[in-house]
Parts: sequence; C-alpha cells; structure tokens
Amino acid sequence: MHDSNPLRDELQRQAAALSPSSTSVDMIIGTGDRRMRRRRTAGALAGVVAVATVSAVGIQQLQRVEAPPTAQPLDTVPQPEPATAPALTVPPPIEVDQIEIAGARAARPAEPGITWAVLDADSPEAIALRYGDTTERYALATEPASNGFTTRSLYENLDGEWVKIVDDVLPDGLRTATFSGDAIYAVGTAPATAGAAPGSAGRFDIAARTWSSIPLPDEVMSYTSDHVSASSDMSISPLSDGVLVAVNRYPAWVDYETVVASLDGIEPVGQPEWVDGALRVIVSCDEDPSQESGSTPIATDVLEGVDIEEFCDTRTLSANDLGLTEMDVAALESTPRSGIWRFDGSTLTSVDLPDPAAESSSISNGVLTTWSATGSRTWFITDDGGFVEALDGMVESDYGSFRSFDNQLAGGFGSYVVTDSIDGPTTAIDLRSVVIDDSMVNPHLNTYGAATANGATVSIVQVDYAAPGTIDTPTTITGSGYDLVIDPSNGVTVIDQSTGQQVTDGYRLVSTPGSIQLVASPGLSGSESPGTVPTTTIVSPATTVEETVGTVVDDGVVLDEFDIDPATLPMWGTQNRAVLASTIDGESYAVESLADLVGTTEGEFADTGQIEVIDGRFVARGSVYGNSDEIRSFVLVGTPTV
Amino acid sequence: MSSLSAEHPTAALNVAATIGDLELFVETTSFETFYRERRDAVVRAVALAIGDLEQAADSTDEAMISAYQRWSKVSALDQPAGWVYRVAVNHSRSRFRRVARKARYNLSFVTDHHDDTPFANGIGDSDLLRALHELPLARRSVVVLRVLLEFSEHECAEALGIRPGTAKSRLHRGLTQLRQSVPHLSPDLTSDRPSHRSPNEGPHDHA
Repeated sequence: MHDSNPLRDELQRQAAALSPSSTSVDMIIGTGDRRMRRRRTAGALAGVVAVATVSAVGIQQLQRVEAPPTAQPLDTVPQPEPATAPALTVPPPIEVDQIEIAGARAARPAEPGITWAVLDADSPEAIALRYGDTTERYALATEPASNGFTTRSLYENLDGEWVKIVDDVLPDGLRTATFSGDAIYAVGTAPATAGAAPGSAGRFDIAARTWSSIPLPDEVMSYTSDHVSASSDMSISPLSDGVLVAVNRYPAWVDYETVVASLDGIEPVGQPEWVDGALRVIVSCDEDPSQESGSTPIATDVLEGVDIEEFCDTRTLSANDLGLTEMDVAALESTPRSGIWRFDGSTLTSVDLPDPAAESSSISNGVLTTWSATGSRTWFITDDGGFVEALDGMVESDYGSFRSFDNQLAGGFGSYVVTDSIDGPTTAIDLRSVVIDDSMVNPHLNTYGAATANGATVSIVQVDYAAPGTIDTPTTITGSGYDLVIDPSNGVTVIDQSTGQQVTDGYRLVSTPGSIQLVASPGLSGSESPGTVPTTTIVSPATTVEETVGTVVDDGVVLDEFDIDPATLPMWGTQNRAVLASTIDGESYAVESLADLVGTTEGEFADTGQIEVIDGRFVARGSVYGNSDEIRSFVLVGTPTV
Repeated sequence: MSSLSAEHPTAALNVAATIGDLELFVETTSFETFYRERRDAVVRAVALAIGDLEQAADSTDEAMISAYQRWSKVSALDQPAGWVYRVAVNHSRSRFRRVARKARYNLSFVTDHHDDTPFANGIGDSDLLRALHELPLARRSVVVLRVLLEFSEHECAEALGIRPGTAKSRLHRGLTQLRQSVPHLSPDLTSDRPSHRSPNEGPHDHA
C-alpha cells in the first residue's frame, strides 16, 4: 500500500483510459508455433530471404496503357497462334479456409455474403485484376509456386488459361512492363545481397513471338561489393516508337551481416553516419555490454518520432574496421542518382532529365515526376519523348499531392482540386463548390472518383469526405494534434490544437484509408506528418446503410454483431487492420479482419491498401513481413456469394 | 497447440496427456495466463513510451510472440512483462526507422505510404502526457515501467538492461522534469513502492 500520489494516480488513470485493440492469445501462440516451424526449415531458404530483404525495388505490375495514336489499340492487335510452350495452368486461388491458420481458433465469424481468396500479388490473376479487365491478355508474372521475388516470365491469356510465352529464362529482376505498339517492353533489376545488380530491358514482339533483351548501362545500376547493398527502381512509359525508361539508384547501406564480426559482437542499429571520415554506428544500449560508459547524445530524427538520446550508444569505426572499400564508401555517401533512356527494343539512348537538379525520377501514365532537394516537379511526356512541364511549374512539396492517369494529373491542396492535361490549361476547383455524385463507386474509401463542378465533370483524387450530397455546414474533425475544419464560407483549414492557430500554408492534406494526414511543410520535402485526422465523422448521415448479416471481427475476436451506424463508424480502416468493404451500390457493408483473412497477426503487416471494386469483386492489396523481414505482397479477392 | 485453451483446462489437459506433451501444456497455459493478465498493461506502457497506441499493440503482440517462443527463459525472469516491454519498444523503434529510411531514399514512398509512420495515434492529449512525451525515451521508459507496470527500480533496471543506479537516476530526472511541467501534480513519487503485483510475479529485490 502506498500513499496517494497525484502524479502517479493521474498517469495511471490516463493510461487506463487507453483501449488497446484486442488480440486472441490463440493467435499469438499459433503464430509463434508457425514461425518456429518456419525457422526450422528456413536454412535452405536463407539465401533467398537475404535477397528479398534488401530489395527495395518498387514493384510495378504490368501496366495497361493507352496505346499512342500511331499504334493499334491492344484489342485490335492481330492475335497469333497460341505459343508452342506447354500450357502452364495457374493454380486456382487459395480459399481462405485452406490457408494455414495459426492454431485452432473459434469458428470463423459468419461470412457476410462474401467468399475471400488470397492471391500472390505477382500472380497473373492478381495482375490482371489490377485493371479490372477480364480481357487482360498479358502478364509479367511469377511462375506458380516460385518465390516471387526475382525471376518472372511473360504469360498470355487468350482463352482464360495463362500460358508462358517465352521459353528462355528472362533476366533476373524484370518487374515492370508496358505495351507500346505491337510489343511488350519490360525492365527491371535483380535485388542483390551485396552491391547492386545490373538492370535489363527487354522486348517481346507479339506478332513475331520473339524476345530480346539487353543490359542497362552500368553508370547508374551496376555495383559490386561484399559489404554494402544498394537499392534501385525502374519505371517505364510507352512512346510512339519504343519506351522511356527511368532508373534510380539510391544510397547504399551496410550489410551488417557481413561485417558484424568486426564489431566484437555488437549489433548496430540503423545505418552509420559519416563523421570526419569515419563511421559513427549507433549501438543499442540494450545489447551493448558497456552501455553505461561514453553514452553520446544522438540528434533525434524527427521522422522516428522517438528520442533515442541516452537509450543508445555510438561507436566510431573506420571504413577499414568494417572492411569497406573506397567504392563501398562512395556508394554509402552518394546521393540518389537517376537516368532516363529511350529503348526501342535493341538500343538504348540516354535522355537528359528536364530538371538537371533531379536526384530521382519516376514515369507513370505518360507523366514524369522528378525529385530534387527542393521538391518534385511534374512533366508530361510527348509521344516523341520530349517533356512539357505540368501544373504551371508547381513544386509539389510546396503545394499538393498529384497523381497521374491517362496523361492527366489530378491532386489537391487546401480545399482545391487541381487538374492538368498535356493539351489543356491547369485548372483549380474549390471543393466547397463540388457536388459529389453517385458515380463515386466507393465513397467512404479513398478511391478515385468523379465529381461534378460547375457543370463539368472532372476526375479527382483523395476526396474521402464524400457521400452523395454537399458539405453545406461547417464541420470540424478532431484528430491527433490537429483539427480539420471544413467551412463552406471559409474553405478547408487545419488548426494546431496545441496553439489554436491555423497551420501555415504549405501543409497539405493527404488521405489514406481511414484518415487524412497532414504532410510536408515547405522545406521539409518528403518529411514527416505531424498528425492524423480521422475521416469517419465526415460520413454523411444521409448515407443509407443496410444492416447486413455478418460480424465485425478483429484477428478472429468477435467485437460486435453487424450493425453499422454510419454516424459512428470507427476507424476500422487502419486502426485494426480490418477491411471495410462496400457493395457496388455503396450501401451495404461487410467487415472482415484482414489479419484473419490472411491468417497472420496485425503485427506482421507491412502495408495495407484500400478496397477497390473490380469486376464486381472486392480487391484489397497489402504485404506482410515474414521471417527476416522479407516482404510478401498479397491480393485479397472477395467474391459476393449472394 | 493453441487449442489447449486455458478456459477449458481439463479438456486441454486431456489433450496434452494424450499427445504426451504435458510440459508443453503447462508452458502454454502459463503463457496464456501471463498474456491475459499483462498484455494490455504492457500495451499501455509501450503506448505511452512511443506515443502510438496502435503501433504499441502491434509491437506488444510481436513481443508476446517472441516471449512465447522462448517462454521457458522469459518466464524465469523476475519480470517477464519487462522483457516484453523492452522487445516491444525496440520493435516499434525498428519499425519507425525502417519507414524513415525508406522515406529518405524514396520520396514517393512518403507520398504513397503513410500507414506505418509514427504519428501520435490513439493517445490522448493532456498536460501530463505532453510532459511525458517531452522526456527522453530512456527516462520515459523508467517512468512508465515504474508507474504503470509498478516495477521496482531494480526491476526497471533489469527490464531495460541498465544498472539499478542508472534506473534510479533516470527515474529521478524523469519525475523531476514531470513535476516541473505539471506542478499541480507535484508530490514526490520516488519513494513510492509498488502497490500490488501480478499473481504470477514473485518477490523481488527492491534495493
């Protein structure tokens, strides 16, 4: 027994007010058992796992891009005779119930009229689903039962059966492909356990049934080392006579597995800093036997959000201590590098970046985005490979977040949605005047949608405070640290709760499933978000929601019988890693735990995406960490059964 | 194994006996008891340490999985909850760093993936909590272990892998800073003893 202590009592009271999401102990035990089983059999896979761990390559699936005017639409491309390669039938999707669920649990909650299946995100079926086009004919995809990280093949689907169409082994790491004219172009680079692997570009002539590939130039990609690794990514966009390929290589990092012997058993945390020609390595005090001596304050990284001062120690080591070569050091110290090439199937021609200061670049849907220290700029790509600056020269970090589709751009900042196209003016629309119409397929999730403003229909992004109707009364949304105020007479403002003041111009709103986030003040390009604002209170009470037979679950724990009141929808979208799905008419809902469906725990998720409705099915993408932190991507497909 | 539910010990015992794995049954039920009794308390402590309730829950569950996998060793510690706390905080920090590193190297990642960034999430707002978050993590950890999990200074030290003197020093500094920030809650805390302990945690040295 102890005396009353206001400080302690108040802290305990406030802590007790926190309501952690619940998790079944069965799930914990089952996952532990499963991991131990995996670990016992993981030895032979260690190499593959290591490869996967260092891969930071942006995975981009086969993009179905509008053919340029001089090319035939894909649907009219003459279809050749089926390939002579033996048919390779892709196994049917795995039913959820067939997945190894960790441990025996209570019976699964009642299915609310949806049968869920899990696909490997790199499978042809998952890729075809991406564009909601059942006539999708080609896929650059992993072979069934492959590890899914490196080697892929080209598949063709003429009659519902996916057939491998290139007998040769394709270069390792091909990830990204697009149509151009009557050919499929693919580029990629293999992840490497050390150094950086060279990239490749290839072309498949659909009519001639021939495949050819060449390595990409070494100046950006290739790199050899025993102790450091580098990541890279590629993107691709069709031109009238080939494709444009953007390649980025990022600064390398030390592979501690190969140098840890030099550290006398100390396990470093994070990557080293270069200070006066030597490496300063952060060492967790937890694991440092001499933790109490020589603690050195380390500047807090605002992105980490956690002070590590006093909790960690540092060691200063020379490159020689770690066995690093001059090339290793150069790679560790480097800034990102980017290059762009034209590729016509046989030759590569270097193209100058339109922004000479750009350190990285990405191409998507006919739009090039370049990033430099001052922010990002966007450029339309002309058919002949030229660049036309978009958005009247806006620098993205100062204004908004834009996305491209079909040679157009759309994005938003403040209360404005901005659109631009290669042959049209930049337009800005005030969201306060926008009437959200019923054509938005999935208004409560952050899908692209159509909005009507001033008689014109435009494509917009990231408008999730939407349901049929208009925002006609002032609405305040209380978030963590910030309030979002939507006032038809005063626009959209963000109030810092600690000061009561409006945040300075330049913060932008970016919505993710379940939240609007405030991101990136000027001068902090790509930097942290200071808070989140839940969106659920913006769901319009006018929305009609039918009660649906079903159960709300979280990791197998039944939380509530299904009775959703749109005015009180909690943040299931992200908080509990659950899936909130709506039917095509947007009026019926089914909630399932993503973790439950995939057969893992919430802690294993690396990323979860939003729900889309494709061909009448619900599609959700995500990824999970496995042993040694390798990331596996999956696609959940829910098929209504009623 | 997870079918050996503690809620049905007799049936579970029968199953365990049938498969000749009584030791496993005992370990499992011991872990289940620990999990049910301490999990939420650890989540709250981790949440206040890292400032993110959702991440705290995820990380604590990861730590619980690790604890289960080596339960014979973890359960022998004076404070298994301290071990779980430490692993969970490290897991969270690792997660945050991973996101930060990706963000640094690829700006587009920041634009497209916000799900894992370490925002203050699910934690309430008050003078006390703000003051707590102004403490360095090292001090914050000792404070939450001492106040929320009601560890002794010795147990705080063991849980964090530091010397008892260091734990005491950090606790003193942390509480001093808190008292300065929230003067209306100022009475000294350092002399307090834990008010109670979990039934599965034995006597400890409070030196």
